[in-house]
Amino acid sequence: MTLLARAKELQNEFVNIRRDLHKHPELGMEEKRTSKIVADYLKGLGLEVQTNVANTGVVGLLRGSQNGPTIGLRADMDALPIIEQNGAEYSSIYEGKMHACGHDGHTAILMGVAKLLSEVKNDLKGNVKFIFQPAEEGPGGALPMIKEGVLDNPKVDMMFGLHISTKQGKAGQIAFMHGTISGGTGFAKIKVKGYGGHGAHPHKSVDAIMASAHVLTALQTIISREIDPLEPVVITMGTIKGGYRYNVIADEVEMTGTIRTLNEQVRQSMPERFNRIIKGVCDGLRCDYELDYQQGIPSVVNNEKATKLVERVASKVLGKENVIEDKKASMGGEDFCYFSMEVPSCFFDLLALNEEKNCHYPGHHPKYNFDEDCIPYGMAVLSESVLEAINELKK
Amino acid sequence: MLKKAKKISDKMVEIRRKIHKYPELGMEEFKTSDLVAKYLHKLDLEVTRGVANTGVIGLLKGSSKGPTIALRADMDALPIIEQNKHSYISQVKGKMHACGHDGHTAILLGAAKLLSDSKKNIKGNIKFIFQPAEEGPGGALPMIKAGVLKNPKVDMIFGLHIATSGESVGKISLLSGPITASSRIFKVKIIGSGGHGAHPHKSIDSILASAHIISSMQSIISRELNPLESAVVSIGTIHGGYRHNIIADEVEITGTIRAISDKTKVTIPTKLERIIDGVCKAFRCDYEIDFSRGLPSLINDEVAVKIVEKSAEEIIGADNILKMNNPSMGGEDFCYFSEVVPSCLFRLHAFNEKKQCIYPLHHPKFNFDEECMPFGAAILSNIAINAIKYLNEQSS
Repeated sequence: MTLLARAKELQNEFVNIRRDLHKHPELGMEEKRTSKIVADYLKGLGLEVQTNVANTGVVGLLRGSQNGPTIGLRADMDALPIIEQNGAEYSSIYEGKMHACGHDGHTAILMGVAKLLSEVKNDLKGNVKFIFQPAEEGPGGALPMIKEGVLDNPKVDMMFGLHISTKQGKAGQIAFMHGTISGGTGFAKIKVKGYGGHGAHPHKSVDAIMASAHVLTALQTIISREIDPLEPVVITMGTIKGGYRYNVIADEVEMTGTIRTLNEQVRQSMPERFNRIIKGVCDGLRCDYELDYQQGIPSVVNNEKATKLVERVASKVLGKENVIEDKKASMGGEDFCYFSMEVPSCFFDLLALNEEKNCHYPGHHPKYNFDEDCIPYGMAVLSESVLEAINELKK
Repeated sequence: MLKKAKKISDKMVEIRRKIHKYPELGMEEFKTSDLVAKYLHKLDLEVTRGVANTGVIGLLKGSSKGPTIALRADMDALPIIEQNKHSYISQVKGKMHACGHDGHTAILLGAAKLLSDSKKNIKGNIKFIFQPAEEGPGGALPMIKAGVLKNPKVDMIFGLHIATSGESVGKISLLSGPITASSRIFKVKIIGSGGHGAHPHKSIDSILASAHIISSMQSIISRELNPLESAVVSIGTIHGGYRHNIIADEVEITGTIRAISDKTKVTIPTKLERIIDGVCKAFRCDYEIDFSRGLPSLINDEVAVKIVEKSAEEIIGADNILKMNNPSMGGEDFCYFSEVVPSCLFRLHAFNEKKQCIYPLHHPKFNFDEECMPFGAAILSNIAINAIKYLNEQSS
């Protein structure tokens, strides 16, 4: 029996696991119930299990029949602070929290892979490390786990991960991309400071709201005028607030925003650009300012060999016509990037769009859901990739 | 009169600081009107409370029947966080007397004391009008509607406004004709469509659109109006967005329009809407705009101004009476009084660098030199006496 056929046999079990996780979403670093379910399950399969890695992370090691390369697989477990509106019978019962990004599916799928591979462990000529990480949505779980040694003992030689996607295609398909596939991020908090006074006497005060308007428009020129037009960059100022009353000139305005790029050098250059522009505009308009710029996470960069492997394997398992090569990266962030920096890896999309089943909302939408039929395909592609990778690396 | 006023200076400072410590917003001046009423009662005036909610009127009847002069002070504070550090700063979070109304109230109570001491010489009546909500939603008009200018009928009305524009205590400024701008309040909502901060092409950023609107509207003043016409368009507040990485679908801004000439008052809102409409179209946004009725110009009556001039000269000398070069762009709801009764509102100077009384009205560090208060009380009292004399002479 192929791994895909076996995965389809087991579909119900893992759909139920997913639904249970979906009903009980936990936020980053609070995944206590979820990690206990994972740890208990892996222990039940006979894996060597470590718990409380980076607070709530779980690592399971499946040793094969002989020494060999170690392949890492990763799933994230955390939910989001969103009020669920999709009306499913397994909707979240925790007020204000929801699995709105498919991490419940990632966790269930990886547990399924653990099951599939432990069934064939006699044929495994190496090791498989199952990494269940917390807090992908923030404050980050990949980096803390790496710092706690998750990529050592045994040393991980290659890694794979998937993300459920309702952007395109349908269950039974994957999408992959070479090179830089996700956005490097930054966070900016800007305070523009003027000098308060009466709204009718502008010459006696310094209008921070008017100055922030100019700061906002000037920042957009970073994209339109300063950076190579072939380099994708996004600057979004998401919040603005300032002022006391309609007839009082605001002495302070605060804005916060996010910056996305696909080029690490551009990402590193952003704080200087922000500072220069904000300083210039504020100096020109007699304001002071405070800029708090924090670098976020770098891009996920897929390794060529690992990605070609996934393409090959998925074509065999799903059929060539069900393997889509994306040409455009996402500007969203994904903290798998830290794994991709340490280990040759491939992170790909597991497609699960289905309009009839109301699974057509984007990630983070209150009505988000995905076509659960994708679960066995995710299990099969990951499992087969592990086997192929061990073979490849042994050569 | 000034000597007498200086004798009660300490009392006026005490009253002012008490009010300053417990600022109350428009229509919420409960403690303040309690204090005012109590003091007026002590002086044996006929006190009427609850006029326009929290307004207080004190009537001083002189030695015989005659004309009625009104003197007015406002009592309300502003929703501003006080940034001063002195011993009497606001004890109420988020509220502050940042426009000198605490001083106006203390000064008028001082004038009430001085005038009730001289009531034998007064051949008429003096009405002390303590109004609420000058900063909004307005106290003058409701009080007029409640009959404050009748029974007895007010013949002339006077008031002052403390100023920290640069001149020191012992000086006043005066002007005939229009002395404030007419005003309008506006509220604009700019409506885009939300989405993930990393995918701008899938949403419509209302924050960026409002930035363009805010900078474009400056050109109304700089490019569309005759430079000799005075007008102001100011935005006071802006709020929009949920989170740093979510594109805001809605921004709300509020502001004020000021203009000296009526023509400008009518055309500026039209220009503003035209700009908002155009910029929103360019940025694929919708908008909602709401203009509310503002205040008309305050017009000082020539005769009333002459009485103030004479009365002030007797106290501080002609050299200390300055002519205002221009009307102020600020609004004053005293304008409603000036529409129905000959009136004069003048500036009482209180700038003092050493005492850190250097900040403009509505500034979080606003303060005024309290030594101006005896001058204010003395001049207002003298004005009332001279005005009654003048009106009596006119009728005989």
